[in-house]
Amino acid sequence: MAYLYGEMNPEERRNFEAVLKEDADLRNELEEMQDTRFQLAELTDIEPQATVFNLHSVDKPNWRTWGIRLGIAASFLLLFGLTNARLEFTDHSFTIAFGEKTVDAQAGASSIAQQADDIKNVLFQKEMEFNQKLMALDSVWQVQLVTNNETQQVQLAQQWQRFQQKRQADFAALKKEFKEEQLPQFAALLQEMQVDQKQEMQFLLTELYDNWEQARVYDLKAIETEFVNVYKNVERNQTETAAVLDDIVNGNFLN
Amino acid sequence: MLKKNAHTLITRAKTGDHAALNKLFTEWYPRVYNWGYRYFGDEEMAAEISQQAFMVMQQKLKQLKDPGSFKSWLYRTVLNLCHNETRRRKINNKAVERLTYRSKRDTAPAPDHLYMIKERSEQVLAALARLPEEQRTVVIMKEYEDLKFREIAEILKISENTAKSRLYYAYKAMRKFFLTQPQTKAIRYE
Repeated sequence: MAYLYGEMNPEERRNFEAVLKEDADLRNELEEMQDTRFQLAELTDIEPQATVFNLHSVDKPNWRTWGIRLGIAASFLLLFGLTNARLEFTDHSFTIAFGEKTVDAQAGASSIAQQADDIKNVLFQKEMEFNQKLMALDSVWQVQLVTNNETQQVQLAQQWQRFQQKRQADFAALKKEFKEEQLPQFAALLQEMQVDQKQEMQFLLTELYDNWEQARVYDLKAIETEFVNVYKNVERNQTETAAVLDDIVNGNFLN
Repeated sequence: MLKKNAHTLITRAKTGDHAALNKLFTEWYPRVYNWGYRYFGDEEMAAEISQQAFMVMQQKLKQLKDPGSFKSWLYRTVLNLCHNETRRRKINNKAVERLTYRSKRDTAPAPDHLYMIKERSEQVLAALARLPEEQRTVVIMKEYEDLKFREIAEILKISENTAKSRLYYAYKAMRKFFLTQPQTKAIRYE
């Protein structure tokens, strides 16, 4: 084969050609080899399919950065959990606030007086409406008295009198119950109820937020765990790929 | 021996110089591609092997200690990729079937020169596909890549005599196959 490809040194070639001259079978075999090479030459190089190889920098995912980001996120959540931070809701927004909530005493007092005035106005309005209704009913009875007989008229007049007395007594009791001097206390009570409701609402929101926060912490921990697992898998795959590539480069697949 | 420019290019590529890597692979792409084509008898596989070789080159070239041995290193890489791919996909038998089918169909071809060349090429591919891998590899390295027996022995980690022996038996087998092909008979009696 070395002769076929011209890889013999001059001495080897001379010796081989001397043998070849004497050996017809060897000559025949050499011709067959040359003929086969001639056949193989039919398979010329082909033009490769167009391909674009263009290397560019491959940014590996920076797991350290991700870890820092996750850490910051977790720190914020822990900050909310460990401090008395709270959410304060207003009409169209909410604020994250820290520390004890301060109450403006002056504003509170003026608010109570305002509510007391409001209640007085409502009560006055109701009394006026009640009196108007009584007067309207009275006029109706006056008409009926004209049209009914005397006995009936007397009975109805007595019934109306009792009704009117009862209503007046009820209204008097109502007025007694909501005496003007008691109105500020009543208004304060109402405001306390509102404050309680507000606090209850805030408590519910805080609970909701705490639950949400806890859920997010768990989620973040789960995500972090998954990231760690993914990172480990990537590392393992890289190691295995490197091993396979080493095998390829070192020729281990041949053996 | 590599030329000085090639040596410099490989040295630069070893340091991760992307432009050098691109140029290096562009230069060697046709050789790798044709190796894959002759090995698998399939252009898609040739492209696949070429891309895999490029990836290996990108990742492992820095481990090459001597830039002068780049050629051997690349051929050994391509060879192992082919070997690995064959083992993985078990496409050898399919290639034989496909090429055998191609060579058997239409045994009365039109007297067209281009068609004749194509038929002959396919016959050679069919003959290569029928060879055991180790013989096919030596044929490609010797006949098409024009490597010395010494280089083949070094890349395959075998003796030169083993390389010659494999080539000898490969030629014997291929000759036998060619003689059974109608196209070859026609050529023989021209």
